[in-house]
This record gives sequence, C-alpha cells and structure tokens, in this order.
Amino acid sequence: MTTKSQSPRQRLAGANLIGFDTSLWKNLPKRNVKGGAKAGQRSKVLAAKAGGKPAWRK
Amino acid sequence: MNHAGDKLSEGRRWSAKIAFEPDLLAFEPSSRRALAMDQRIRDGLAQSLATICTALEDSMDLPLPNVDRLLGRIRAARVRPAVFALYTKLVQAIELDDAGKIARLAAELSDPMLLEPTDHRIITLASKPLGNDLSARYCDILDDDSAVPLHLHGVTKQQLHDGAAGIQSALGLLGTRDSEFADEIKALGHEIVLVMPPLGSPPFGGVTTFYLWGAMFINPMAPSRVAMLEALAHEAAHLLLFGMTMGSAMVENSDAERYASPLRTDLRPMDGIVHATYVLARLTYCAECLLRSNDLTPAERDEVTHARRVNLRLYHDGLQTVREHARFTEVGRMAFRRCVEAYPLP
Repeated sequence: MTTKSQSPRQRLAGANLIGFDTSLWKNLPKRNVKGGAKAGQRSKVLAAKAGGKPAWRK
Repeated sequence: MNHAGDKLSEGRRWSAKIAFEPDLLAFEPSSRRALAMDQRIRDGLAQSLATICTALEDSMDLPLPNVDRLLGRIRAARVRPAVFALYTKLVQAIELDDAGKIARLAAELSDPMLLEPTDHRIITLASKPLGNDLSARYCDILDDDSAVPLHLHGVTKQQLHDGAAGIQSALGLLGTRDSEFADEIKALGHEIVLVMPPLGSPPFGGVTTFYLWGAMFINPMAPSRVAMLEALAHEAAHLLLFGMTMGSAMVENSDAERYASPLRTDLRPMDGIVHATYVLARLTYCAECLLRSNDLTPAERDEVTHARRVNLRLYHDGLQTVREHARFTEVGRMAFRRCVEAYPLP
C-alpha cells in the first residue's frame, strides 16, 4: 500500500523502469550519500558504457 | 461458435504478425528490425516515465501538465537521446531521494526541445545543437565509472566536418555492398556525436550506452574509411545487443567476476566479454561484406583482409571464454546463439 508520506523512491521501489532494477531501492538507507562513483546508480542494470578501443590499434 | 473459423483467423493473425514483425534476435543486419527495436524501447521508456510521473504527482504534489504530450510523442516516433538522458538523470535523482533535483528534472519533461524531429545527424559536444548543459549531461552519463574515466570533449569545426565526411564515406562504401547493414547502423545510431579523449589518454575509438539510447560516440580521427566503418559497426553492435535485451544484462554472472577480454587488456565482467565477442563476430561479418565489394582499393583490401583475420581470431578467443564461464539470461542465450550459428567455432 502506498501512502502520501512515502518518498518517490519508496513508492517506486520494485516498479518496472526500463534499464533499472528498482527492487534494490527497498533496502537503501533513507537518503543516499551524494557524490562518488556510485551515487544514484546502484539500480542501473547495465554498465554505463560499452566500446572504447579503436579497432585499428588492435 | 465457429471454432474452425476462429482458428483460421487466429492463424492469419499470427501469419500477419510474423510477416510484419522482423526477427529481433537475428544476427544478420536489418534496418527494419532496428526500427522495431527502437519502438519497443520507446514503449518501455514511455511506460516507465508514466509510472514515475504518477508517483511524483502522488507523493510530491508535483504537477506535470504537459507530460502526456511527451509520452504520446515517445510512443509515436523516434526521439532524441536527450529524452533518455533526462529519464536516466530523473531515475538517479529518485534513487538519491533528492527532492530538489527531482523537481528540476521533472520540470524539464515539458521542454519542447524533447519533441523535436529526429533526422540522422552528426554533431559534437559543447556546441549547437547540444549546447553545454546537454553535453555535460551526456558526459556525466557516459563517465559514471571513476575507475575508467573518459573525459571526452567536443571536436573542432574542421574535425566535425572531416569526421562527418569520413562517416558518410564509410557508410557509403558499406552501402554499395550491403545497404541493409549501412541503414541498420544509421537507424541504431541516429545521433552520432564526434568526441575525442584528452591528449595522452588510452586509445579510444567510440563508446555507446543504453542510457543514451540512439546515440553513438565516435572518435573522428580514424586513419581510413575502413577503420571508421569498423568503429561504426562496433558501436552499432553494442546498440543492437542493448536493443535485443531491452536494457537488461546478457548474463547472470556477477560484475565482480572478471575474465580476459578479447578486446581489452583489463579484466572485464562477463557481460562485457559477451558484448566484445558479439562485436567481433559483427566486425568479421562487416569485413566479409567489404571483401565482396568491387569498390575497395588494393590497400583497403589488404586492410580488410588483415582486420577480418585478427577479428575472427579474437572472436574465437572470446567465444571460448564465454562457453566456459557465461551463465546466460534467457534473452542473452537466444541472442548469442544466433551469433554462434553464424560464426561457429572451427
């Protein structure tokens, strides 16, 4: 059941959001620490980037 | 009730469906499949944004008057990667429970820029049409791993001009032999952003991310049109896998498990190994297309022959690692199987 006092994160924990696994939000502390490599990115399903090395330098 | 008639019409419906819907997991290129994938991802994006907006209106009393227009536009036609960028930042702000940031980003959902038409374009960072703010957002999304920073920057006007010409020439070369392949690359990466790393950085050819769906970041300094085509085919293959899996992982292996990559010197998670191996099969396929072309110069033919040999060997290396260690998701297994059917181990 959702209540008015719930934050958007609490309300959306477990919701189907493309590219994100929001089930992880059920166990997060009330407010994440800002800054750092992982801030706000725990629920990303995929590593952010793919690619990199140019083929001509193999 | 006429069951025979029902079955017949059901059969016709399925036939029509099969005839209409392209094979989404096929290894062979298809521009129609790329567009169908884009539609599926846009449907998922619209549904996700609608879910978020409902939650924001309920829990923050945040009025979002124009969002239906955006959602309708997302469902109806291709949108710029800027829309996916905004969605990504909004989800991250929600994860952080940052009410101020959530409100600012939610207000951006009414920005008419998001509704602009999306012809194929080649652009760069920190200048029009992206501008500084959107460029910074793109870089922030790409550069989320402080262990492997890219610090990409825009290119000069001349590099943009030359890079765009190089891309057109490379895709033109491929198009003479396999227009479906060239059109698929353009459909998957309809916004090509020319970028370069800082001086002294490790070699960089290009990069893509699911979180900027539709964008392809390419280094314009490829030394030949064959090398440029490899960079484009490389990034398009990543986008293809993102589209096939709808932004889910190819494997269930933990990110903490690391394996030798056929394309990089650092150890990589299995999802990266599967991606790299698939990319190498696609590059081999691309080389084989070019070798059937009459438009290659003798030097280019040598270059492509060499590239095909190297890529096929690296593909076999990757395939061995995948076979030994990958624990596929269902869609990952089905997608990768099609690749192995095209290029089995000798």
